[in-house]
Amino acid sequence: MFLTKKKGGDWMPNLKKTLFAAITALAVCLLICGVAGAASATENLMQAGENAVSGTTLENGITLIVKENHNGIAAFQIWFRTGARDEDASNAGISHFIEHLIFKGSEKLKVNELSTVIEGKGGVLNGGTSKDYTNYHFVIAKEYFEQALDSMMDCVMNPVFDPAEIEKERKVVTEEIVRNLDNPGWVIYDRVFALSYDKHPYGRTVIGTKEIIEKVTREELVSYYRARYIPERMFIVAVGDFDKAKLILKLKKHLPAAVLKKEARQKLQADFKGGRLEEETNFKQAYVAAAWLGPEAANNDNYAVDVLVTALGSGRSSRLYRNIKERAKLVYGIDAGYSTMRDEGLITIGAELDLKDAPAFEKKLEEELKDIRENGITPAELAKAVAIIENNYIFSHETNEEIAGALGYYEAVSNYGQELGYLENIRKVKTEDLKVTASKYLGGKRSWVLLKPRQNENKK
Amino acid sequence: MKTRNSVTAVLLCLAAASGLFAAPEKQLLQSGVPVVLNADQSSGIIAVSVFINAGSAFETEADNGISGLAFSMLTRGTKARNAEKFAEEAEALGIGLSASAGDDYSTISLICTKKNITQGLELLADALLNPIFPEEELAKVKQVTLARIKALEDDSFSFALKNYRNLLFKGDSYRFDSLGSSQNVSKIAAAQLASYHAEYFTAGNILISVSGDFNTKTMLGDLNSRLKTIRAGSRVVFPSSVYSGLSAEGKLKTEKNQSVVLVGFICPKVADRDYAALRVLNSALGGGMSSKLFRDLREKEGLAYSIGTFYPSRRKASGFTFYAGTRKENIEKVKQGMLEASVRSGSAGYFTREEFENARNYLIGQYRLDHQRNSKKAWYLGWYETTGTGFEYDLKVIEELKAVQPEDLAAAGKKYFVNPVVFVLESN
Repeated sequence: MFLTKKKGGDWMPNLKKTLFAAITALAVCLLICGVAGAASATENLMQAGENAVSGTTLENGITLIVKENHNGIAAFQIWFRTGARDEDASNAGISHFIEHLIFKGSEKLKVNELSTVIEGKGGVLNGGTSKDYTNYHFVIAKEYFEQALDSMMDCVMNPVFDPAEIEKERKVVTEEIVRNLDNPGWVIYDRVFALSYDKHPYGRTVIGTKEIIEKVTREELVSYYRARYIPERMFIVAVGDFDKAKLILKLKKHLPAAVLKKEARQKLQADFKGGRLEEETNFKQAYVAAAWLGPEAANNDNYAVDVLVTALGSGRSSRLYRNIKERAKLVYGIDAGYSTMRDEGLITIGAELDLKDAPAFEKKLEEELKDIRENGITPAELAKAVAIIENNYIFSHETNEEIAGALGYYEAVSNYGQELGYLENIRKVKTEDLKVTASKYLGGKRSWVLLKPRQNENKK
Repeated sequence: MKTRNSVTAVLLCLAAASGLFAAPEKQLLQSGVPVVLNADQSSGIIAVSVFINAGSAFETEADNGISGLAFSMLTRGTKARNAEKFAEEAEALGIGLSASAGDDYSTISLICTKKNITQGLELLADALLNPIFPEEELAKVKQVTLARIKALEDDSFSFALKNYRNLLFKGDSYRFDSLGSSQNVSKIAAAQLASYHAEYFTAGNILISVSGDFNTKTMLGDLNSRLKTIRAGSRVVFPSSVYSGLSAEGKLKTEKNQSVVLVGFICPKVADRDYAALRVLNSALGGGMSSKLFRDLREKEGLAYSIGTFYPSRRKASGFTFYAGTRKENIEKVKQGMLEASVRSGSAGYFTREEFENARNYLIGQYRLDHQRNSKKAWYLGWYETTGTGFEYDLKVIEELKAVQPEDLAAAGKKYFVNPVVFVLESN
């Protein structure tokens, strides 16, 4: 917590990040949803009386998750259970490319009209693509909620995929790919996932490759869209100042009358590969990521794993931070994370260090993990980890859009009910569970990625 | 026009109805420290920001980096707690407590639930008043800071900005990076940090801003007793602007895949008479997905993924910056596009009435949404107070933005977008 807090913000772009934060930002991105962004227990936040979270299945089978909160602002999110996980080697990146193209107009809205409609009324909109899902979201003053909703639903349900716009957007996505190549955090994240999974699609990147993005045809885009943007894979989350009954009526106009197609999303068994990768880079510093296969989101072990990684790497008094960074001084930064995903996600430990310290770091990390496997953690460490998770949860559920994002994330990887019971389950974790969990998940095969600076950079 | 008036009216109603902007008040502690208090019971969270009138803008070539080191050390050893004990106590509560050095000001920030506020304030006051700067901890902080300086280049954008600032703010203290230079960081001793603390951490040089679920009387009582022992002292003078205002151009080659193009101009400080117009101009040129740069250079030409402008609120003359990440072969096109947009900003009719209205609404809307969070509310109130503008500006700025007209944008563009400073980080 000492590392990640940043200054108040204001109208400044968040351009300045420490290097280590670049790595952890990725883990945090998953953590925000997986740990901090989790559920209720804190009764007043999610389950308070008339403002309780409720789920409804609309006539066409689409799930609507709603929490009314009458504070003048409304957040709306459309989610699809499709992402890198649902691609293959020949079309990797197509989910993300489609996400960009959804903003390019519908039968009714001109190119970019969606952003004008929402931003022009003081709202904020964006889209996101991950391994497990793709989403589109906005937050706006309640007076413009319906108009914004109409526009976003129209773009998502009736995109035009204009050929000229596709050509232009290829270049933008290619720039995004190139940008990520320069970021140690992105590079190490992609490498460690590629090394960890054998055939499971989690091994592929979300953004895809330049070659695929340059070649993918309009027909392929349209056919992927038709196959994946279907009621079976779709759900909607709305949190904020609106009337639920009116919202349902409104949505009916946009959604297909009946379920068009049945396609359940099967679980894919993760096939952990692991191994060792050392790569020379243009970076000035050395970066390490270690990974083990964790449980899938719906597996009850995920709570103990969240507590475990918090005890290992969250805050200056956590095990790894204190023993490896503060006492042994082998790294400049260290963090532990767990990606809560539809199938088995990774438990990761990331560090930034001097190349010469890499062997000593590896040895020390092994010792620390062995200790945890054999002796677990103390009751005080458990209480501290639970307090950190509970408080981070409260701090990250202050706005309507954060609450919507947390509910949506869990619905995408398992179901939103799990999110509602999350803190209660976290509080049930016992010290003896952690010993078992550490042995089960941090004892076997692992991935080890070392990004090395150019040799001449590291001579002192 | 219809759209403008109704949207603005709604945005203002929103403020009143939802408590996004409550009715903050200012009080003086017995020690003379000003406190801005904003009671807000919506979430059970309390955010406290202590603003210290200190930072890299107060530094010189010889001591650049000292603020960063001093603030990193505040939670690493006090009279009552060593570094490990401090972290242990804070983390056992699950509170967020951090100290960080900025340029115009620096902060110690606390975020906690109502239940932890007493212990949270105890730790915050300890970091503020009683740091002892132990040698062993300083060595660790230096080691990490030196590593960060060395690795600055691993983040192309930060690295480009650092070099760009050197050009734009040549001679001015805004050119300094808060990490400092390796040479200074290696040299600065614990005794210097103790003197730094004695100079800047005084009743006359700090202010406190609180937003959240507290009782005003209890909060004031608690702050009074905890800050009783703060040293008396006067406010440190904020250095004035020194810059040439001339055009300049710089380039560095890197082995990266993407190039960074930055084009900027010196523009006035926060709450200046042209401030609101420039804020709207910033929104219209490079604010969101509907801004000019995004539309013209990204959507139409596909030249960049990250593109926009920023105009940070500053205590003295600031920079208005156009930024983009692009491929080497597009550098010239992007640069020309930015320069052309800067010139055309100065002429009437560059933005349609609708583009203008939308940009202003977007800006005000974002500002509102930002006020959903107590940490942000505390920050805005404290920041305006630190600049001397006064916490009331948190609401007043919206009136100023509302009053901006299209011709004000053209006038501001014409007046300030005159001598461009260009910096390019050129990739392979």
